[in-house]
Amino acid sequence: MPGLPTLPELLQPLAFLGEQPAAVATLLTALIMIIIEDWRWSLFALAAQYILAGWLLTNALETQVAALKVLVGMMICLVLYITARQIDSSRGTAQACGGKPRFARMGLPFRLLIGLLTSIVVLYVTSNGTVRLPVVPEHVNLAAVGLMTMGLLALGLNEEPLAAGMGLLTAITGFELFYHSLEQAVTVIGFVVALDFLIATVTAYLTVAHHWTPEDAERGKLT
Amino acid sequence: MIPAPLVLVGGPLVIASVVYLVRRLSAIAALLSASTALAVAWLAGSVPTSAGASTLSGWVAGGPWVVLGRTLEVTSGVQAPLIAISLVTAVLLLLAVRLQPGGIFFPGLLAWLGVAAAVLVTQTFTFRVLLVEVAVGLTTMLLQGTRFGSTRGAWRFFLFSTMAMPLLLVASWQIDFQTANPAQVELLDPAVLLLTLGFTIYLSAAPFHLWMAPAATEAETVSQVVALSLFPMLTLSVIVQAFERYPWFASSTTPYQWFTFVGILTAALGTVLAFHARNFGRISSYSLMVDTGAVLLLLGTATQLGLICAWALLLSRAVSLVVWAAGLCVIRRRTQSDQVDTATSVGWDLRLATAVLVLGGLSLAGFPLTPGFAARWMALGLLARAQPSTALLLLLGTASSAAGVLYAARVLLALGPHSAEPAPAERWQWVNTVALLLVIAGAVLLSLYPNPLLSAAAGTSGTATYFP
Repeated sequence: MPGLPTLPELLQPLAFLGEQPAAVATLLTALIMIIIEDWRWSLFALAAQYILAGWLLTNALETQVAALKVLVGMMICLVLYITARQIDSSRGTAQACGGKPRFARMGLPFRLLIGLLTSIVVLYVTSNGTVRLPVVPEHVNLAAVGLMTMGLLALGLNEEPLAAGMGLLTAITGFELFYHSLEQAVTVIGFVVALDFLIATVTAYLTVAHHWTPEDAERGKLT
Repeated sequence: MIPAPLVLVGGPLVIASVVYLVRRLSAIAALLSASTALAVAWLAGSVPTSAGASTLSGWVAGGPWVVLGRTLEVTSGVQAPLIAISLVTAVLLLLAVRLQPGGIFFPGLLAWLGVAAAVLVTQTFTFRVLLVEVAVGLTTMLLQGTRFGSTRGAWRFFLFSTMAMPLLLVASWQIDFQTANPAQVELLDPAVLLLTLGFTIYLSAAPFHLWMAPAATEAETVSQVVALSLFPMLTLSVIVQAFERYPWFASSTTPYQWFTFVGILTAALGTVLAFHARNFGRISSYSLMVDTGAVLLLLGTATQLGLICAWALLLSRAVSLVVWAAGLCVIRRRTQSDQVDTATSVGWDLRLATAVLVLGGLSLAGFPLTPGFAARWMALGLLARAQPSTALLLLLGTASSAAGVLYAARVLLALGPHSAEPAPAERWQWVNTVALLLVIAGAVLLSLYPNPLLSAAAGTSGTATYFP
């Protein structure tokens, strides 16, 4: 009977990505979160972002530790998915994330334009060395700066907790790509990962509070 | 023997889980939580700081405790801030019985106290920053409480405070790296900048103050005190610990120049906005902006007296906010709104609550004959000697904040028909009257004898020998 594959063997299929394409793909996931309002797409992009970020982190961290980040990322997506589903079912709409009035002001063309422009600026300033984070390799620099910038952009565009929370998580993931190249103590990494989960929990809490009415809470026995 | 840090951190967390089970029984939950907070205050004061010594008949041991290679220790610099934070927490927990809907407040605030204790006793700066983020998460949940609808205040608080974490973590790495490589002194300059900026965000200096007005308008009144008073106290403790631990940070002129600059900006903005505030939440939040500006200006003086005044302001703020919250809670229940104009003439029906509200508001402004006056007067005196123009700004801030409160008082006590009729089910209970009378008595006592506040501030700031 063949033995179970090791973690590096499991990650082997991702090798086709290469380092630079993986960094660009990470940026693309953040762009999807900016452009598309539907929470399903955003969550899918966030999940993909965690996998890609984990892959990029294998340069700096042990594979097992990087896998922990991916695992917690998936748990975060699960928490946000359950939250968004709950809001969806109470509202009977697929627009749990975003919110009509806000979206009406910042329509798809605006988001597309500002998202693309920001991506181009990020690609430009990271490729010509204008923005260069210390210690990290070039492709991680692109992903880190890209995620931080796009995350902050998402925060600027949304004040609804679910959408803004995903923006915050994106920005924090970008920061972690940089920070874990500097700090590799396992206890610190473990704590930072736990904080990612805390951010997701607070996001979920505020999302429910934002969308639910006291009647919804009574039905859902929230309090 | 149990290590003291374990008791101080683990105790509130364990009791919080018990309180969660009985959270619907407000009186029991409040008593249990407040007793725990008082016990933490007592233990923080009585635990010996030297290794080998013990207290509580040898059950609790002093000295350092090492967990996963990180040291936790109750040092002499930690004791006074922890006592102050625990005592304010205990008062809030008791006050919440009458003034705050149950829910997660009691276990949440008790857990917050445990995390705050962890922040203070942790000796590693990286972990201190990470633990502050946990406190930020808990504060956010407490701010939101069990209210539905707008989440602007809680979300903005969470967002801004979280934005400080990356800055401080990178600064922490630079400090550690420089410690291991003493030749790399060039790392210290960016570390100073990052630390200063991170602390500025934590203290809600302009433009990171944007959460204050929505939070003060929307959040439950007692919960606001956690974010607006307890969290700044925790932050100031972290700043002081950074000054103590890193002499190069304390001896650099950058933080003081920066604190002075943003202090002026924050106080000036608060002064302008407070005068026009026509909303109870905004009146208090703009007064607090002036207060925050004063704290930053005092830190900018880089003197021990400045630090004592900053602590005195924060302790007075806690008292003022508690008094304000007690009055506002009763008035909000009647008007179901935060707009001052909806409370026209309501003050004649709710005389006691109006008196408490006005006393709390004037105290927040630092008006004479209120608990907030002594600290504000000290701050004014110090700033008048160091930078007379900033003292004048602070004086204007006091006048502007007081004007906002007096406008509210004028509306509340206007003659004419009530704009808000009591709900049919509303029933005034004698316990509320007693609670408000106790609040007034405490406030008057502290107005006439502010020494406990001032000596607590002097004790909390310790011996600041690190200033340049």
